[in-house]
Amino acid sequence: MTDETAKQTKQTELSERLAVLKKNKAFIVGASILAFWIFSAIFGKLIARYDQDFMDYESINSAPSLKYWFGTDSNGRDVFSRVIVGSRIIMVISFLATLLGAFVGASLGLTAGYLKGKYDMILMRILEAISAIPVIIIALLAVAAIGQSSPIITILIIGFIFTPNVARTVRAAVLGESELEYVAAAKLRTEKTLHILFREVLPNVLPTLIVEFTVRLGYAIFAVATLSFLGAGLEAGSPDWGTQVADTWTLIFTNVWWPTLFPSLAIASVAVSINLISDALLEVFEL
Amino acid sequence: MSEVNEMVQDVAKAGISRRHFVQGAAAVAAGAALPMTQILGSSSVSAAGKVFRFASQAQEGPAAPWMTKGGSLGILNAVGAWLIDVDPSGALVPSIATKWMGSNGGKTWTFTIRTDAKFHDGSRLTADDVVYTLKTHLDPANKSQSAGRLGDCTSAGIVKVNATTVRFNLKNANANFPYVVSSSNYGLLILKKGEKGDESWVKKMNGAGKWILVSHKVNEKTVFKRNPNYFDKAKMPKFERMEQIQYVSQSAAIPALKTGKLDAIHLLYGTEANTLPTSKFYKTLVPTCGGLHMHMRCDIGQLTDKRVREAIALSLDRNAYIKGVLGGYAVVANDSVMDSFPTVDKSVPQRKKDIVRAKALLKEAGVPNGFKVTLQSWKRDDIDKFTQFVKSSLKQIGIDVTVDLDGSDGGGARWYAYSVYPSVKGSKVPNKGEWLASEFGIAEWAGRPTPDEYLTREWASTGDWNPAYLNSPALDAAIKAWQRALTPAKKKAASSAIQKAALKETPIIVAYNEIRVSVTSNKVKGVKFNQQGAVYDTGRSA
Repeated sequence: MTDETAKQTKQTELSERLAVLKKNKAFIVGASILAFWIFSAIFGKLIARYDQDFMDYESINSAPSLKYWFGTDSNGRDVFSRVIVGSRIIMVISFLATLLGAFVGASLGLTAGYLKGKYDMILMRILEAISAIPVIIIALLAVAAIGQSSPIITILIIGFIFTPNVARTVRAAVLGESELEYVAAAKLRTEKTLHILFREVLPNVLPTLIVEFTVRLGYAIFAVATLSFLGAGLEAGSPDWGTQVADTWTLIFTNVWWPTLFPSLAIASVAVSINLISDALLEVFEL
Repeated sequence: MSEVNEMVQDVAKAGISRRHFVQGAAAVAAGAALPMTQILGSSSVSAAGKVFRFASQAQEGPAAPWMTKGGSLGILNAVGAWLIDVDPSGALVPSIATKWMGSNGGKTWTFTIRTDAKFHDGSRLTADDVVYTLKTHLDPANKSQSAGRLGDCTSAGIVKVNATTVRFNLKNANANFPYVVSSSNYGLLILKKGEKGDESWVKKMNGAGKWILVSHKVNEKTVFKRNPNYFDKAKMPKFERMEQIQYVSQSAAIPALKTGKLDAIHLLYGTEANTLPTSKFYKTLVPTCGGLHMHMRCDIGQLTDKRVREAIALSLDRNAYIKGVLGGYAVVANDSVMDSFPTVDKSVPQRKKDIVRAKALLKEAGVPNGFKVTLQSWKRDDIDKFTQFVKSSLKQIGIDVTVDLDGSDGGGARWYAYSVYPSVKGSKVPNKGEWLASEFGIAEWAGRPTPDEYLTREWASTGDWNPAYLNSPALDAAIKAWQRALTPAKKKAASSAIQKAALKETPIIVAYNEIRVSVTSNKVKGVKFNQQGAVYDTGRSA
């Protein structure tokens, strides 16, 4: 089989899998929910009915109503508007953190799986050691060590935490790929290692990387929300969902449940949507 | 006097019913049987039985007399005794000093010391202990946080006249000096001569107060037992033990109150207190002059122009915030600390929300489109809400506020680090995210019976807790006039001058004076809290 024929076969296979994916119910539901939140993240200020910081002093802790669909919090702020606007913060931070983890993790996994030997062994042991520490503990330690928190620091921390998992997954896929003929052919053509890794091997492990990316994105949503809940993430009073839950959970004891429930549901819906998408990808790409 | 005798006296005084008397007698009998129940392993005590359990705010630092910090005063109040007590109404009540008298135009104050007071270790409290205590605070080596309050004193001026008399010869006349050495200045509890009031004191907390320390875990729980040797038998607690449990958010204590694991929550949000059924709980309201003081640096940063500071003050809708967010449990204030005192000049106009004027002031100051600024403080219920109020309000005049609160665990470690202390006039300390080194910040002040401590420590240019670093000769002169004034008319005139100078400069925004709300189970009657936020009387089981 020539290179051109192999490429065409792969493209046809990909088209067929994507066609199957489009009909997968889990994917459709997951993608729809995620699309809604992406739309909210981009156009949130247009959808929100009030400014996220606007305080209606006449409507403190108001239950859901026609005026305030998700009710108001103890500062009289519209929970619906804050949930919608808050989506941007968590989506952007989670996406960038996952992207960072995927990029660094994929680079390390590619080199480890391809170069093997001592480099692979040492790198994997280090990454295993990092993954053995609970995510939130690492994050809190990092915030405490840095002495401050900000969206950029949150992105760096979560990206760092996700790197070992991505690296291990990509490495496993590369170990199989590196034994295949096209890699040997590239070596015979005296292609440089970077070319072989990123132009030859990477495209072939991309489905694995995409699935890993979606899985990590789901975890990132939880990680960002948890860090915010613990006060180690974003600005106090931010409409970010984790901060909203942290700011309002004690109100539950006074039967004011809505400022906590709706941001919690938002977190859950994004996490579920991403899991549905990743399950569908796993099924369709038979990974 | 035996418990039975005390109870009979209560019957005579209060005229309680025969049924209550019989219940009381049964309680005494149960008390006598206690050792046997302990032998049998029964340690279960109802929340409203022999132990009074209440939720209080988290501590910012050790509960040590030289290191007084918010959250610690409840603990100090339990174990300590002061020369004079301040009751919940703000009145002075004899304590270690049975009487006091001013002379020499308010420059000399003489205190008569009681002879029957004992420290928890059994040693007698004497005039020597009183002199020693006050002198330790004035010794710079001890870095006492209460030193600034004793500005009119000198070490040489504190004199033991005889075994029962201590005299203070002040540098300046001060008509309110008894308040200075009262329980409102909670770091000045009487120490045993030779003992240090630093962190080492926390281990035993050897005071002379109503309660003896049993155990203390910072920001968790402090357990006390009743002091059988407390000198004022009339104020002897009715409970055998008291447990103070600390919460980062008082709202989080509501389930424990509802399930009977707590008897009271101190400093609960009024709107949250209103959700609790009145059939089971009752509210205690203590109007105070305390609350949140939002300072703006007058010497460095973006708020040095007083027009900007005034614009910020004018963006706040104080009445709406009090009515809505605080549920009405506060009284509107006019950016000075004089508003809740009888000497206030009511003719000084109350500052009200005026966005048009605020924008015009920003334009005059050269920042018509506003600017970005960081508002710093530490995390606690009232500050959380107030910072959001400020952020929302300032957005209307184009000022973009980033809120930076120290800690989600009670915090205070950074905000009250005191790496800058005292505040020094003209020092231009850079922003370090601390109370005394921040451009725009909020500190919580407990109530005081007089405004003197606020004025001398927070508002005067020479104050050691002056976070705004305002240097206003007019305000300084007015504060001095206040201190020296010995008649109500002169006090009122000085108050008026302070109010006007404060409005003119606006170094600190005082938007409201809080009404402190506590909620107590109906199983406990007669609980009283003082203006500073400590239990004044634990009451008794219903």
